[in-house]
Amino acid sequence: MDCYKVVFQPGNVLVVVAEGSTLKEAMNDAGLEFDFLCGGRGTCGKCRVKISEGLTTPVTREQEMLQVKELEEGIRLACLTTVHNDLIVELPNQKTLQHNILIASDERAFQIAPQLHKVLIEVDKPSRETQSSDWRRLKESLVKQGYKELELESAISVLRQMPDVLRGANNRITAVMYESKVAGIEPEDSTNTLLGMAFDIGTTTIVGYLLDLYSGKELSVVSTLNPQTAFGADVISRLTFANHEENGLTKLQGAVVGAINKLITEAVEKASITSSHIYGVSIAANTCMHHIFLGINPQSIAVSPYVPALSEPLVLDASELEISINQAGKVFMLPNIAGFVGADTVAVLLATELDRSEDIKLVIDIGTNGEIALGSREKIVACSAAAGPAFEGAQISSGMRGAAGAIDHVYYRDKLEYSVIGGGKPLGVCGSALLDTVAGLVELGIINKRGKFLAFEQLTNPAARRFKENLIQHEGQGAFLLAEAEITGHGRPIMITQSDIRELQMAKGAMAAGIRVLMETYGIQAQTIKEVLLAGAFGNYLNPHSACVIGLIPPELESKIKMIGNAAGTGSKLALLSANEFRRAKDIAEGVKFVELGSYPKFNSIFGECTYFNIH
Amino acid sequence: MIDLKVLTQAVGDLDEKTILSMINDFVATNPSGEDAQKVVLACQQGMAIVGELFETNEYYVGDLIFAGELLSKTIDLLKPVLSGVASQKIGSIVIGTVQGDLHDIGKNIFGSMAEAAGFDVYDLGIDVSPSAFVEKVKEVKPQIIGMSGVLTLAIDSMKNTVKALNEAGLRDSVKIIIGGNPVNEDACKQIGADDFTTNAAEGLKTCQGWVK
Repeated sequence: MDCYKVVFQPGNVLVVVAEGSTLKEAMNDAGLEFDFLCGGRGTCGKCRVKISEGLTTPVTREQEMLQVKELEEGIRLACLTTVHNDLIVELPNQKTLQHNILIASDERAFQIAPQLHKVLIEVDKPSRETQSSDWRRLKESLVKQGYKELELESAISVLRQMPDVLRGANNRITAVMYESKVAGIEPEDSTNTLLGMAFDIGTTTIVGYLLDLYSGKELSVVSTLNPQTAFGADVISRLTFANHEENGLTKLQGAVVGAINKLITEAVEKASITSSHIYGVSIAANTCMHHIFLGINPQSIAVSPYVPALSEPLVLDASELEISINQAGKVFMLPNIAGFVGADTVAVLLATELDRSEDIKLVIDIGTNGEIALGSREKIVACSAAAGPAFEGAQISSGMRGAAGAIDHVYYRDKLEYSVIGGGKPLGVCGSALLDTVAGLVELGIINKRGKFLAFEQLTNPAARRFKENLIQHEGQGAFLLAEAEITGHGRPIMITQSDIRELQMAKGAMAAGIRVLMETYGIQAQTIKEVLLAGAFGNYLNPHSACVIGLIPPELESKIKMIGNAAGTGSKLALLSANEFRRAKDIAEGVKFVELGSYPKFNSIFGECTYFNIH
Repeated sequence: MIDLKVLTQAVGDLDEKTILSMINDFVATNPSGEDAQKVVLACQQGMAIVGELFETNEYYVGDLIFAGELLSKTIDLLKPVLSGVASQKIGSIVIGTVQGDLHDIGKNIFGSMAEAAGFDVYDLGIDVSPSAFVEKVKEVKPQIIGMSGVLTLAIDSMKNTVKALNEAGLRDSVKIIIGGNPVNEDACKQIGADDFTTNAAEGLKTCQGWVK
C-alpha cells in the first residue's frame, strides 16, 4: 500500500499515512487534537482546513457544504478529504494545537516495512501420485511467492498446527513470515490484520502503542506505572533488590511482564480486537529495565566499569518471554549503548535521526535518569547523569509527580501566580514548577550564586520586594512560600525550601556538567549547537527559559530548544514498523561513543562549577 | 612576610586571585621552611572557615570542591620552599572509593579538608580493592581508614574490605569511617565500621575526635 506524507501547519507536524486515509485519521495519527463537532461524519461542515500544497478535487459533499470561493482557496473538510499524494495542510486554530505539537512533532517520514509480514498461500492438495508431505507442499507454495526453499524454516508449534489448519481451511492459509521462517499459520485469508505493539519501558512508567503494521496507524495508546516501583524507585534500588532479595530478579521480571500483558489486554480492548492479531512487540527500555525484562541479572551495570550483560539487538519468541500475543509472535529488543545509556536512548536517537543530521544537535532525555547525546551524522557522544529524582518530585519537600493537583508552572508577576494540573487546589509541586520557582529566585536575586536564600534586607532588586510575603523561614532556613496552608488541598503549606534548592543544584549540576563534558569531548562550544531536543515527560513540560536561567541548559541555547515528546516511544514504534529502522538502531547503538562521567578527568570541578547559579 | 590573616580570610572567601598572588609573591622571596609552614597553617585555618560556612549552609558542594582544588594548588606552589621541613601531623588516614565504584567527589572533599586539618592523607583513588586497602594499612599504619561510595552496592564492597582487614589482623589497629550517599547507621553496623557520615565536614570532626 502506498503511503504519503502529510505536513500540518503550524508546527510542521509530519505524519505518514496510507493512501486513502482521511485527514481526520492523519490528525489522529499525528496526535493532533481537533474539534470535530459532528464526530467526523461529514455532516456539520465545521472541520475546515486549508490545503496549501497537493490540492485535489473536492468530493461532492464538500462542494455542497463549502462556498466556491473557499474551494478555490484550497479549503476542504478534514473528515472528508482523503490522501492520495503528499500534502501540506494548514490548520485554523493554533490554540488547540499548541500543547499537542510537542507530542506530535517527533513524527518523521519513514518507509513502513515491518520485519513480520503475512502471505496468503494456496497449498496444493495432497495427492496419491506425488505423496508429497504437508510441509513440503506448504514450502512449495511459499517458493511460488519468491521464498527460497532451502532457507525456509518453521517452528514446532507451526508444524503441530499444520495438518489441521490446512485441512480445515481447504488448503487456503495465511503464513506469518519472519525473514525465511514461518512463524505462524492461520486458516483462510487473514492478511488484512497484522498488528504490533511498541513499548517504552521506563523506570517509572511503561507506555504501549498498538499499531497496524501495514499502515503504521496507531490504534490505541496505553500506559501504566511500572509495577517494579514497589521494589524500589530507581534503577539502583531495583538492582539491589534483584541481587539481595530471594527470587528478586524473578519478581521484578514477573512484575514487568505482567504489566506488559495487562497493557496488551487493555490496548486490544480499546481497539476492539483480540490479542492474537498482534504478532510483534518492540521494546525500548533503559539497560536495567531491558535486562530485567529478559530475566538477565543487571548487576554488572552497577559495578565499575558498568558494562551491560548484553547490548546487541535481539529477536525473540514472544511465547518464550510469556508475552501474551499470537503464539507465533516475535519480540524485538532494541540494542543498548552502555550500562546507563540504554535502548531507550537508542530509540530517541532513532526518532530524532541524529545519526543523519547535518547540524550538531543536543538531545536530552530527562527521566528518572538523565541521558544526554550530542552529535550529528559525523559522530555522536553520549553520557548519563544521575539527575532525575529531584525533577520528578522525589527528594523535594513539597514534591510530587506531574499529576492532578501538582503546581506545574509558577509566574512572578505583580504577585506570585501559578497553574495547577487539573485546576483544583494545589497538592504539591512537580519538577517544572520547581524549575520556574528557582529560576525566578535567581532572576530576582533572592538567592545568591551559591543557592543560598538572602535575608530580605539584603535584596537589591526592587522587584524582589514584591514577594516579601512569600519569603519565609522553615526549620531555621530560608524558604519560598508558593501556597499557604489555607488554600492547599491537604491543609499544609507548599513551599520551596533551602534543601529543595540544594537538591536541584545537585541535579542540574549533574546534567549541566554532562552537557559540558560532551561538548568538550566533541570539541565544540555551545554556539555550534543548532538545536536542543528535549525528550521525555519532564522535558516536555518544563519552561525552556527557566531551564536556561538555572543553568540546566546552556543559556545561549534557549532559542534553540524544541520539545519532542516521548521520543523513546516513537523510536520503539519505528523499529517495529520498519525492518530498516530496527537495523539502523543497531548501527546507532554501535556508533555512539559513550562517555563515563565518573572517570572523566575534570568532571568533579566541572560539576562543582555547574552547581552554582549565574546571578546578574 | 605576607599578612597571614588576610590569607586565611582569602581562603575562607575562596578568593582564588588573592590567594595565588599572595602565595606566588611569598615563594618569590625565597622564604624559610619555617615561614612556609606558617603559611600552610594559615591556609588550613582558611579551610576551617570554609567548613564552618558549609555547616551554616552558606557554602555548598561546589564551594567545597573548589576549596579542595584551591588548597592543593596552594600546597603545590609551596612545595619547593617546604621541602626539608618536618611537618606536624595530627594523625594519618587512608582513604579510597571502594571497589566497583568510581565516584570520588565526596572522598576528594573529605581528603582535602582532612589534609587542611593537619592529617597525613593517603588517597588510594577509586575502585579500590580490599587487598589494596590492606596493603596500604600495613605500609603506613594509619589511625583511620575512610571508605567512600555512592552506589548502594558499595556497601558490599565496604563489608568485604572490613572482612579483609579482619583477616589480616589489622581491624583493631584502626578506626573505620564510611561515607557516601548509601551509608546510614544500619549499613555502618552491617559493615562493621566505627562511624558513618554523609557530610565531609562532619566526618572530619569524627576523625579529629579519634586522634585527640
